[in-house]
Amino acid sequence: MLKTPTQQALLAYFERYISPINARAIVRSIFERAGANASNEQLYRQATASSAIYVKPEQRDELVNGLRELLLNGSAPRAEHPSSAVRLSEPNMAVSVAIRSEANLNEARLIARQMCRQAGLDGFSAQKFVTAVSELARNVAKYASPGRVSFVDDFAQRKLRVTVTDSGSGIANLDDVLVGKYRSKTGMGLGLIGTKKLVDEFDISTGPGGTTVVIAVRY
Amino acid sequence: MHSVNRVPIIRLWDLLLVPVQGDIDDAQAEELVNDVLERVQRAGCDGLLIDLSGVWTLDSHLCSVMVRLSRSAALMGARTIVSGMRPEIAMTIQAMGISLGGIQTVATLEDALAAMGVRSGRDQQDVSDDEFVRKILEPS
Ligand SMILES: Nc1ncnc2c1ncn2[C@@H]1O[C@H](COP(=O)(O)OP(=O)(O)OP(=O)(O)O)[C@@H](O)[C@H]1O
Ligand SMILES: [Mg+2]
Repeated sequence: MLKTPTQQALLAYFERYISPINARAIVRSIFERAGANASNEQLYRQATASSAIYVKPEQRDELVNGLRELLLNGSAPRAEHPSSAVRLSEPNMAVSVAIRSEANLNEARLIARQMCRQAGLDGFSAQKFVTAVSELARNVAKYASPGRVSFVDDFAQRKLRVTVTDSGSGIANLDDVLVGKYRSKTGMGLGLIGTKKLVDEFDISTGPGGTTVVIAVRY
Repeated sequence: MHSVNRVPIIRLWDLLLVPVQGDIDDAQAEELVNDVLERVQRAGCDGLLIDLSGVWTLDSHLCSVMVRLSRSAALMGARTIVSGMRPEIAMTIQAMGISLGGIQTVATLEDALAAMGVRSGRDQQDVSDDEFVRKILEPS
C-alpha cells in the first residue's frame, strides 16, 4: 500500500502538514476514491476535494497550488520547511461550526456539502445529508443557541458523522416529536422526525442540560 | 441591510417572477416575503411564479416560508406556482413528509407561465407555419 512514486510524493506532501498516520489515511482515501487506474488529473481533483475541508478557506489556494505542482506539473513541491501558511487540521478530528444564530446555518450547510464532495456523495444522497444538517443546526439556532455542529469523516467505516450539540433546556416532549404526535407552534414540526428519515443513523439524547443529536450516513 | 443579497423580484406583465438562487438565509427569506407581498398589493398582480431551479437546499423552514407567502398572496388575489424544483430536492422533502400546502408545482418555468395563461410567441409561430404549409400542400 502507498508504494508508487505518486503515492509516496503525495504522502510526503501531506506529512508536511499533518501527522504521518493521518497523511496515510488521506492519501489512501484519495486513491481508493479516485480508483486504482486514475489519471493524475483525476487524482488532483480527488486530492483537492479530500483535503479541502481540513484547511481554512483562505489557505485553500495554497494547498491547491501545491497539489497542482505535484500532480499536474510533475515537479515536486519545494522540499523546504513546511509552509507556515497552510494549516491542515487532522482528519478524524472534527471540523466544527459554532451556531449562535441562524446566520451560521449557511456555513454549516457549506461544510456539509464539502464533506459530501470529499466522500463522493452527490445527488439525492448529498441533498439528504445537507438538509439533515440544516434542520438540526436550525433547531439549535431557534431553540437552544449557542451550540455546535461537528463533522467527522470516518474513513474506516465509510461514514460521514455529524454531532449537533447545545446546552439549551432540552426537548420536553421528545417521544411525541419522534412519532409525529407533536404539534409545533413554531414550524411544521417535521425537522427531527424528517431528519431521522433522511439518514442511516440517528441518535438523540436530551435533558435539562441540553440536547445532542448524532447522525451518520454511509458512503 | 442585505440589499446586495436581496432575491430579485421581476415583473412580467401582471405576474411576479421570483428566481431563488443558492442558499437563502432567514433574513433574506423574511425580506422576500415582505417585498413580494408589498409588490402584489401595490401592483395588483394576479400571479406569483417562484422558480427554485437555482436553490441548493430546501428545508422545512424554507418550505413553511413559501407556504406562508403563497397563502398571504392568495388572500390578496394572487395565485402561486412553484417551478424548477430539482429532483433530489423534491425527493428529499417528500422523504421528510413535508407538503407544500397545496401550492401548485410544475417542472419548468415555461410550464408555470403556460399555467398562468402565457403562451410562447414561438408556439404560435409554429402553428401558423404549420397552417401555412398545410395551405400550400392542400389541393385547392
Ligand atoms: N435543540 C433543541 N433544544 C430545545 N428544543 C428543541 C430543540 N430542537 C427541537 N426542539 C423542540 O422540539 C420541537 C420539534 O422540533 P422539530 O425540528 O421536529 O420541529 P420544529 O422546529 O417545530 O418545526 P420545523 O423543523 O418543521 O420547522 C420544536 O418545536 C422545539 O420545541
Ligand atoms: Mg426544526
